[in-house]
Amino acid sequence: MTWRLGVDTGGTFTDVIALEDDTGECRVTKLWSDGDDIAGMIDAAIAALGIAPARVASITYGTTKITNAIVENKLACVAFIATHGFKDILRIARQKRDFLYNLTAPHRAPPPVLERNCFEVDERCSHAGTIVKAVDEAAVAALVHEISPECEVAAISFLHAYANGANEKIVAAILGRRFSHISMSHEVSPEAREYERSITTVLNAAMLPLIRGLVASLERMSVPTSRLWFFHSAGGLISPELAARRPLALAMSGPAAGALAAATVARDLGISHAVGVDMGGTTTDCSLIVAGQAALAAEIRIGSVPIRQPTIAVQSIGAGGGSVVGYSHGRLTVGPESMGARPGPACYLRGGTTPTLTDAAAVLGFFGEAADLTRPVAVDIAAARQAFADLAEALRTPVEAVALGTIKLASSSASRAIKTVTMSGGVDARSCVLIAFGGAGPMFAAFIAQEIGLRDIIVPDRSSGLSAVGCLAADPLMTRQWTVRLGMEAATSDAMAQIAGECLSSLRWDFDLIGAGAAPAEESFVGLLRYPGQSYEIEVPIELPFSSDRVTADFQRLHDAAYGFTSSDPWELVALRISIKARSPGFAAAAKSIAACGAELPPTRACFDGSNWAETKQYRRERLSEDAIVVGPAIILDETSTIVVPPEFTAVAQGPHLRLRRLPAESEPAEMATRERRLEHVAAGE
Amino acid sequence: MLPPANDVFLTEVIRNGLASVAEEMTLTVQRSARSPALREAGDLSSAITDGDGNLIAQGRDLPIHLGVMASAVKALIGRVGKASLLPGDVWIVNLPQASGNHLPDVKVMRPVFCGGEVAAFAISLAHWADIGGGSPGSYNIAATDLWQEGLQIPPIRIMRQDTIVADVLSLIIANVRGAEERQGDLFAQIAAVRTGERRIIEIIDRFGAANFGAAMRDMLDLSERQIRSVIEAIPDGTYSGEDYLDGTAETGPVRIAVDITINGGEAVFDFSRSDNALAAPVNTTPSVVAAGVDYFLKAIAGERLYPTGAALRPVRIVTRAGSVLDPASSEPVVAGNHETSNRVVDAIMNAMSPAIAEQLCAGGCGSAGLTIFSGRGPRGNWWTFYETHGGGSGATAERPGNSATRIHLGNMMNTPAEFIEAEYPIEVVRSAVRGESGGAGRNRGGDGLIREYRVLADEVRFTATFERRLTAPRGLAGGEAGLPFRISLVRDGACTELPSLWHGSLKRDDVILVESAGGGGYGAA
Repeated sequence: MTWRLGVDTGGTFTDVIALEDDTGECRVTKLWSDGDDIAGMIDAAIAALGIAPARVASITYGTTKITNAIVENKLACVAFIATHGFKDILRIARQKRDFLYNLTAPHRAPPPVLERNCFEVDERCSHAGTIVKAVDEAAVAALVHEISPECEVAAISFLHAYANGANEKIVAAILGRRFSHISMSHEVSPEAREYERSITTVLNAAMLPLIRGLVASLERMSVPTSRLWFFHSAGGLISPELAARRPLALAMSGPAAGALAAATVARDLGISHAVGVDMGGTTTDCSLIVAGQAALAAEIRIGSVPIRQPTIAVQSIGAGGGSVVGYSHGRLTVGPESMGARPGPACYLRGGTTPTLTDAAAVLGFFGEAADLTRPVAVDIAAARQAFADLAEALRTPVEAVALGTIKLASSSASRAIKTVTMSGGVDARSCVLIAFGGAGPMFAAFIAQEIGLRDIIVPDRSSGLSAVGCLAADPLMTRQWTVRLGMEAATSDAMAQIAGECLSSLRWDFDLIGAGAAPAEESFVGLLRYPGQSYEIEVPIELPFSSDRVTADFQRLHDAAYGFTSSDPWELVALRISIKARSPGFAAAAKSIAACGAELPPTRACFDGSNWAETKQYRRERLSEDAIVVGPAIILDETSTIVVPPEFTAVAQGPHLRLRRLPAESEPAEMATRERRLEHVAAGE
Repeated sequence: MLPPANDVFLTEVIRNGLASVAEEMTLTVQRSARSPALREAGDLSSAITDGDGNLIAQGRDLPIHLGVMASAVKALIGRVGKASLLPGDVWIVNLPQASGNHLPDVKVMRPVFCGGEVAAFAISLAHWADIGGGSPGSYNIAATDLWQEGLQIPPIRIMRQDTIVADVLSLIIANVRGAEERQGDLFAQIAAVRTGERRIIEIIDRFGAANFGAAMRDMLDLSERQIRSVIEAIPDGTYSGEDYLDGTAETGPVRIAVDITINGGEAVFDFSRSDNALAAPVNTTPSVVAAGVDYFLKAIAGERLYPTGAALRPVRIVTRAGSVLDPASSEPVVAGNHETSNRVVDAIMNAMSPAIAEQLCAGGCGSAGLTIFSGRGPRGNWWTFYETHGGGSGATAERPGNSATRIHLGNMMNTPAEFIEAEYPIEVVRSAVRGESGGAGRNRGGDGLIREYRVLADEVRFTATFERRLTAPRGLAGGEAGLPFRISLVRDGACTELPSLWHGSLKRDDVILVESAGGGGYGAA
C-alpha cells in the first residue's frame, strides 16, 4: 500500500486527499489554514489520515504562499538591471492610473524595486534579435561594486531580450560573483512588452529567497522532499528544484489546481463547455473549460500587477463564504473584506460577530440539520441571525430578506466574474455547465446559475476539496510562450523547425530539472496567429514538420468559429507556446458503494424567497442512488459540504457526481405578455 | 427614506448586470477592431443610458469619453425626436455640436426598445485613427475651421432594420484614410451596440421592465444624493479660479475662467469670463466643459459613488457663446478634447482650493502630450504612429504626487518601446522619469516623463500637440509649480524647442525629445 497525497491550502481551510492507486481507496481530511509551519501541517494531515510516512509515495502541494507574498508586498530586495535609458520602466509601468475618479489616492502601487537599486548597462539588441551593441564586461564588473549590500537578488531585463538573451547571459555571469539568486527575462518571460516582461522577471527574483526557504523548511517533513511536487499556475507539476528557480510559476497554484480538477470532471462527463466556480472562504475563482481543457491566459494580474506567463485563466473576486456584508453610503456590498479562518463567520462561533455570506445561508436554514452528521464546524443559526440584526434594523427589513438579498448580490458578483472569463474566451456563459466546488460552491451554485441564466450544474464528487483532487490528477508539465513575429511567407518549414528547436531546447533543459525520470514526455506546440492589425490571437495547434497549408486551413476554420468571418489576408504568427508533459497515474478513485435508495433524513425548514419558510427535504449525498431524483426544495448533505437545491431545481446522481438542473420557467410566455403593461407603469411613474 | 431592502439589493444586482454589459461592449470592439489605437492603447469607451439619455452604466474606460457620451444621446433625442427612433436602427454621429467633443471620436448608438418604448441606449465611442481633413491622423494643427479637421457626421442612421445603410457607409469610408481599417472599426462598434442591446433586453426580461426602470431611477437618485452631499460639505459662497492654455504666437495665453457659486446642495459653474474662441484647434464644446465639471464632482465624491449622469442634476453650467468653451459650430476643436478639457478641471480646482484644499491635489501634467509620426511605407502605404505622454500628478495634503502617470480626464496607456521599434522606423532611445521635475513642497509633485525617439527613415512627418509649455502645473497651499512641458527637435547636434502646436518634416537621425510636465507640490517646503 503506497499513497499519493494532494494538499491544497486556501485562505480558510487546507484540504488533503490521499489516494491508493492500486485499490483506488481514497481518504480526505480538512484542516484550518492557521500558521506558517507547512511541514508540521502536512505531517499532522498524514497522521490524521492514518497513513505511515514511509507509505507516502508522493505529495503534491498547491500553495497560496507566493500569491500572498505578492499581494502583501513581502518581497526580497531586488537589484534591477536594465538597458541604458530604461532603468525607470518599473516606475513608468503603462503610465495609467488604477481608477478613474479619485483625487487623493496613489495612482498605482509603488514599484517592487527601490529607485536606488535600478541600474543600467550600455547594450542593445534589435527586435529581430541582432546584438547592436555588445556588453562592456569591464563596465559591468565595475557596476557590481555599486550595488548596495541590501540587495539579496538580481533581475536582468534588457530590451528585446525575448529575441536574443545573449547579453543577459553575459551580465548574469558577471553578477554571479555577487549574487546566488539571479533571474533573466529571456528565461522567465520571453515575450515582447518591456514593462510586463521586466516586472515578471523582478517578481520571480523577489520570490527566490522565499521559495528556497519554503523548500528548505519542507525538509523537516517526515516524508523526503524528493517525493514532493508543486502545482504550478499553468496546470501541472514541477519539482522543488525547478520551483526554486521559477517561484513565480506558483503564482496561481491553488486556483489553477481547482480549474484543472474541474476540467477533469468535464472531460469525464463529456461536457464541451463548462465554467469552474471555486468558492472558498475569501474568494471565488472562476475558470473556463473548453473541450475538457482549462483555458490558458498569456497574462494575469495580481492586484494591478501584470504577470506575463502562461497561466490557467482564473478570474477571482473577493466574495466567498466568509465575505463581510457591508452597508455604507447607501450601497450594500458583499466582500472583498473577509473574516477568513479567524474570527470567521458568526455562525461558526470562532469569535466573529460581523455578518458574512455564510451567515446569510445559516439564517435561511441552508445548512440543514442532521444529528448523525459530523461536520468540521458546527453552525449556530442564532448567532447568524444576531449578526444580521443591526443591518436588518437599519434597512427596516426582515432578517430573512436581507439574507436572501445578500446571497443574490454575491451571486451577481460571481456571475460578473464568470462572464468576464467566458467573454475573454469568446464563449456564451449560458451555454456552459457550471461546475461548482470549494467549501461554499455547492451551497450557492443554484443562485449563481439563476443569475447567469444557465441550466445545468455539476457538483463533483469531493467538491469541497476538489483542488486537492486536481493536485493528484495533474501531470509534470512545463509551458512557456515566446514572441516570434513571423509573417506567413517567412514561416517556412525550415524556419519553423529552427525556431521551435531553439525554444524547445531551453524548455527541455528546465524540464529535466523536474526529474520526471523515465516517464515518457509529450511535446506540444500551439501557435498564436492573427490577421495583421488585430490584437487578439487565435490558438492554432502546430505539428512538426510545419505545414503552412494545414495551419492556414486550421486558422481560418478557428477564426471563423470565433469571429464569424475569414479573410484572404495572410496570417502572422505572433507567438509560440510549447508544453512538455510527462504522464502520471492521474486520479482514479474506486467507486463508492451506494446504499439503497430512500435513505432520506427527516425534513427541515428553509427559506428561499426571503419571507416564507418551506418544508425542505434532506438527503445524505453518499446514500443517493443513481436513479433517485431529488426535487427541490431540498438540501443534500455530506461531511464537508452542503448542496442547496432550490424549489425550481432537481438533482440526480451522475456517476460519483451530482447534477442539478433548473426547470424551465412555466410563466415565461405570460411574463412576455405583461411586459408592455409594466412599461406603461414605468412611463406613468415618470 | 430607504426603499425596502429587496429593492436596494435588486438595484445593486441590476447595476452589476449593466456594468457587465458595458464591459462586454468594450471587449467586443477591442477584439474585432483593426486599428492599433483601439487595441493597444484602449482609446474607446462603452456606456448605457436610460431612455432619456441619462448615463447609467459604463466600462472602466476614459472619463472624457464617459462624460461626453451622456450628452451625445440627449443631443440625438433633441435633434431627431424620440418618434424617429425605431427598433433595429443604429445611429452614428461625430459632429461636435451634437456629440460632444471632436471629430475623431465617433459615437455609435442603438436605442433599446421594450414594449414599443425606448427603454435604454447602448453607445460605443471609438477614437478613429483618421477622420479625413488636412493631415493624416486628423490632427490638423493648422486648421482654422472645422471643415479642415475632417468629415462631419450629424446624427444619421448607419443601420436601418438591422441592415447597413450602404450609401451612408460608402460616403463615410470614401472620406477617411485607411478605408479597410476604418470600416473594420465601425463594424466592431456596430457589433458592440447590438450585443449591448441583446444583453439589456435579457436583463429587462429577467427582472421585469418595472423593476428595471425602478433600478435605473434608484441609481440616478442615489448618485444625485451623493453629489448633493458632496456639494453641501463645501461652505456656501462664490469661488473664482483661472488657468491658461498656451495659445498661439498670435494670441498668447488663453484664459479659462470659472466662477462657482455654492448654495446648499446646489452649485452654478459659470465659465463666462473665459477668453474668446480661437482660429486654432484648442476650442472645445459645452459638452466637454460639462464632462470636466462631472469629473470634478465624481472625483471628490470618491470611489463609492454610482457614476451616473445624475451627478450633474444639482448643477447648472454656464458658458458664453463665442468663447473658447462655447465656440460657433464652424470653429476647429480637435485638441480641445484633451487639452482645454483638462484646463477646465484645473480652473475649477484653482477656484475651490481656498475652500477645500485638503480634498484636492495640486496641478498636474494635464496634457495628452500627443506626438504623431507618419510616413510612407515601402509599398507606398501610410503608416501612422500615435503616442500620448503622461507626466507628474500634483501632490496632496497626504502624499507626494505620482510620477509618469495620467490625470483627470485621460487614462491612455503608453505603447511599449518593443512594439514601436518592431512596427515603425523609429528607435526609442530612452524612456525615463524626468527627475526633479515635480514642484517642491511639504509633499513634492510627481515627476514627468522623458522619451527620446530617433528617426530611422529618410522622411517622416511629425505633429506635436501639447500644453503646459508656458503655464506650468501649479502648486497648492504654498507648494511650488512643476517644470513645464517641453518637446524639442535635436538635429545635427542642435536642440530646438517646439511650440505647443507644431507640424513639420523630420530627417533620418533626427531626435524628438519629449519632456513632460512635473506636478505641483503641496504645502510650503
